[in-house]
Amino acid sequence: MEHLAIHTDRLTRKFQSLCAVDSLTLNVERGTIYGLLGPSGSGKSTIVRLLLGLLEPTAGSALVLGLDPTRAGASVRAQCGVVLQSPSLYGRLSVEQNLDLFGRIWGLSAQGRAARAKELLTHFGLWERRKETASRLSRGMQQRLAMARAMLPRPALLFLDQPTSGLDPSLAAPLRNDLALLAAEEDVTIFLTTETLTDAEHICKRIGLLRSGQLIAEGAPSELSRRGVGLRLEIVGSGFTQAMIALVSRRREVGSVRTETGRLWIELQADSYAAPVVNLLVESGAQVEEVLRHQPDLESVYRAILEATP
Amino acid sequence: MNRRFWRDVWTVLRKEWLEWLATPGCLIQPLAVILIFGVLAPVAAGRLWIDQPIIQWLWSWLPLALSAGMVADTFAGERERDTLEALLASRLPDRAIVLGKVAAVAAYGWIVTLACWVTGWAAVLVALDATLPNPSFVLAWLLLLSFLASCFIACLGVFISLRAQSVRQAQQLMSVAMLVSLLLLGLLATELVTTGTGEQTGQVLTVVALILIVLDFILLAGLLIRPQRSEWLIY
Repeated sequence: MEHLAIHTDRLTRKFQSLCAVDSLTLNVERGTIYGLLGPSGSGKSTIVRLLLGLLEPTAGSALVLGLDPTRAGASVRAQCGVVLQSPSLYGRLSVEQNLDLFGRIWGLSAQGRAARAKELLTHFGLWERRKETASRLSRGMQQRLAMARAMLPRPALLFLDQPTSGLDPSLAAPLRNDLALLAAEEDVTIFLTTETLTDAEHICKRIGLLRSGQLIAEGAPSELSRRGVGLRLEIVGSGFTQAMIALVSRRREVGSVRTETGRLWIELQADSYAAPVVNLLVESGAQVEEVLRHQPDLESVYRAILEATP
Repeated sequence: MNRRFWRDVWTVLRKEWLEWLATPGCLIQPLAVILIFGVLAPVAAGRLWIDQPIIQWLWSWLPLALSAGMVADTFAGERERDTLEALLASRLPDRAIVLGKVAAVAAYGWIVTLACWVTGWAAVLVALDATLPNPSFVLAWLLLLSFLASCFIACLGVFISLRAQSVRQAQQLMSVAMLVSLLLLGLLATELVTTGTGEQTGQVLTVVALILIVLDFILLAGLLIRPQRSEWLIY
């Protein structure tokens, strides 16, 4: 257990008849970035609250940095940084007052607070705007400030609850990069919840897919990409007739077939090979010039797993 | 409750005041109260202000009117602005958060009340060209009663704000609490006017102080004994 930053065992939380988290068992290794991916209402934020000891589980147990958040919530929180879906900033206070406040909360000395605030504000590109009230910052800037606030005490574990939610892709991408860079520099374990596949795909070492409070799949992004969805073939050539397409579509290993001018797109079922399909096309009279194999992206895997899970 | 705990209480208190001071127009209310109750009303009372300490003791109830708005904001306001969860997710102990918010509201009510009393005396002395009589008896009771009243309204307000779904609901509940308190104030004033300023006055004031101490103790105990952080976030 020493190597685990988070361990949950059949963790369950119910709100009256609604089961928000359903027998969740997961392990997050120290020093990694773990992404919990799920649609809205799948229980992501509830899991974060349970792990921080802000909510008590209905059943099951959790260990965060070796501590039970239900019994030792204060000790858990003392070692964790948190960025919530909403930046949760004190809008009337300035950027530096927001950081100073949390520096005091974390018990940093006046010198320590000032130095750390400068370091983080510079990293997140907010140093020049430190005198402005937080409410005047753009949403992206506010989320950066929330990130800086969470990193202030050099936490061992950082919870990021949908940090790029509501941000347009042009703002989300640099935030993600900053985060990954900072995580590497400061050797912090990150537990990220997100609805955005791009977040999880780009920075997470492992991803858990959540649906209705249940973990339905887990693995490294590359492992998950191979799960449940097969190859996508792009066949360049000519002579692709409707009869030929119908013939190919009937094969067991073929998921779907789509034509474009001079191209045929074939989605193969999981664990299927391309050669028999290409052979069939050639034997049926198609002029095949090139066959390109596209690995499925995580988006297709995510959709496939969600659709396949009852 | 070690030194670090009290430093946490101070951090929360300081945060509440910083936020309040950063609100546009935040000084209008206390300045208006000081102008009305600390200048105009004492000058209008004239010699009665000097001869009848009852009027000054009734000023002890000023925190009630002063703190209602601020106290409704403590938890319900933070919840509405989405800042409460960040505070709860920090390392601050539950009791330090509660006590810091109670202390911030109580200090505000107490300070403005005392400011009203000081400016009241100054205004009366200037207006009447009088000299200051020995204020120790009046001041001692005013200090005690206004402190207890400030704590009472702060504890009650935080208690309500913790459980209210919104700032509006907290303010509505606070206004009901204020009406009840004003009724009690009326009864107290009647009692004091009846007894005059003799020996019985001390007894009446002692009873009032004791009632406030008991109420403060009960409310504070209700807030601090086994606070449930998980219940502060309403889903």
